[in-house]
Amino acid sequence: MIKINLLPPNIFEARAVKRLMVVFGVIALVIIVACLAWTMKISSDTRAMAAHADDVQRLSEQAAGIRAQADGERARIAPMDQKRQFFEAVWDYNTKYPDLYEDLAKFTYAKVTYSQLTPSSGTLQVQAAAPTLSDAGRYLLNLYRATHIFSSVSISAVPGYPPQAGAGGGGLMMPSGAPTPLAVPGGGSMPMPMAPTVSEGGPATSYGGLAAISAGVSRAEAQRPGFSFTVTCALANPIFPPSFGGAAAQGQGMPGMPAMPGLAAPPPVPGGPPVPVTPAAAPARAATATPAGTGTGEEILPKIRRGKAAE
Amino acid sequence: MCAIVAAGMYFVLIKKANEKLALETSRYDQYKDSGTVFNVQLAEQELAQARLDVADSQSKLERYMRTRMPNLNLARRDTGMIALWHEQSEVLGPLLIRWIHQSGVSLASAITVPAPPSNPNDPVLDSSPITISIGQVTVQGSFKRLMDHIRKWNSCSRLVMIDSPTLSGQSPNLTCNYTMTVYIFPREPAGPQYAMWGAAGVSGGMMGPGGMAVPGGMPMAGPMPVPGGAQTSMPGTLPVPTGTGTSMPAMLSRPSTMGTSVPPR
Repeated sequence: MIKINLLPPNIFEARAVKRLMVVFGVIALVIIVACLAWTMKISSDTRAMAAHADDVQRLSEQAAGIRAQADGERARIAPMDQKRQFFEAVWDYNTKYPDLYEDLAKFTYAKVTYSQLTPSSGTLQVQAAAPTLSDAGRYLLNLYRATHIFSSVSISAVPGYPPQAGAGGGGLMMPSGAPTPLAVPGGGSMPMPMAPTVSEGGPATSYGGLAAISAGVSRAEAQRPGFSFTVTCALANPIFPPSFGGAAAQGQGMPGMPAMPGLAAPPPVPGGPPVPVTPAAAPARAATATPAGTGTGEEILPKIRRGKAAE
Repeated sequence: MCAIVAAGMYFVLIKKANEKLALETSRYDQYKDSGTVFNVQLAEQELAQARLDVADSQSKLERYMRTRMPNLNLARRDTGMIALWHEQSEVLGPLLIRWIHQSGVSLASAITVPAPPSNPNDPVLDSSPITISIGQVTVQGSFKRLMDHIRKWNSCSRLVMIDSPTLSGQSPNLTCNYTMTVYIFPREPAGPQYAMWGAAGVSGGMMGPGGMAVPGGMPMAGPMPVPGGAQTSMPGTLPVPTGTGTSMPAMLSRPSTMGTSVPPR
């Protein structure tokens, strides 16, 4: 027998649709479940990553806090160091001028005597006297060698011809009223004048028994040949006083007292403007280079040692 | 329909979850290099070293402060000011004179210490260091002693600066004239000002410790003598060399501040 379905096809559509709906429903459910599972996995990964991030952030902030603390501690160092350096700068400054004078002494020709030394931050003015022009010249040549002390040396005018008696700096005869020499034991530095140191108001000399001839010595000293001059030296390393914090602090004090008589800056030596002379191509010798020999062949350094022994 | 469901689930759930994950990952990446235990240990070592450095600087400074500075604390301006009075009016002058005598030279001029501020709100108390200008000092001695004397100020129990020493005269009675300045670092900086004390300069006169009151605006006739005696009548006072001058004439035109003048003994 041949099976023939005489029912119309639309009778089975509902059944087919139902079956399809079930299938798609299952598929949709599967998709939903899969998405939810995926989402849960991502969430757990997120939670784990968040925990790690919290840890590293905490450690990083802890390290930053400690470093900030260290920076705060280090910030306290600068003001303390500034104060300490100011102490040391003042102490260093206090030794600059004695060092300068002692260095100058080493380069001072034995026959030249000083009457006044006046420093400023960048220059040193020297009032000196020399018996002869040659002595003054040797003295100047010595100073030219002190390139580590001075960058330039200038001398006031030397006397011309005829020499003017009694005029400071203008003649070969030392005036009787000339400033008393700045004789400093210690040598070649600021040596004693050629004549014995019998002068008014000076200390008693060790020359016992010379009182009888002191008058003659004084006359001889008064008529001692020579002339006064002024040397202005520019310091190779200018000396500046230290200041705290880069600016001089305003402090209490009275207005500067007027210069005391006798200690004021000496007047310029008459005879003309100073002749600036810079040591051209000065040899770069060591600071202890022996200055040019004197007329007597004596050197400065042995004189210092003898002078110190005498003191 | 499944596609719609899938797309909907993706945009609603999965995309947002991914964004959160990316956020946390970027936060982790930001801190992962610096957020290590090793880094924390390094930072702790730096802190320890910084503390050591501070202690070292502190000890060095403390050594200088202990040996060169008076114990002056300006945290309270009123008591600090009074301590400064004692220092400037009673201690500093005799200390300097004593030091000069101990250094082997003879003092040929008066030591004059300017008057301290009389108002706690004075801006001088705010300065650090407090600068006290002693002015010109003249000493006599041989060249070596004068140079040693200048250097010896570095050992004085105050921070003293010697400026531009000028030499003149004849050894062994060389005369050295220099400018002296004393610096004082207070232990503590000045505290806050008080309105009650008024502005600096209107504290009711120029009275200094041990001195007489001078109405404001009246010029001083000269420095106040050391309590107990006139300047020129102190026993054992060396005659002030002519030319160096007493401090009296030089101060006639000084503004109305008082100074304590201690003559050479």
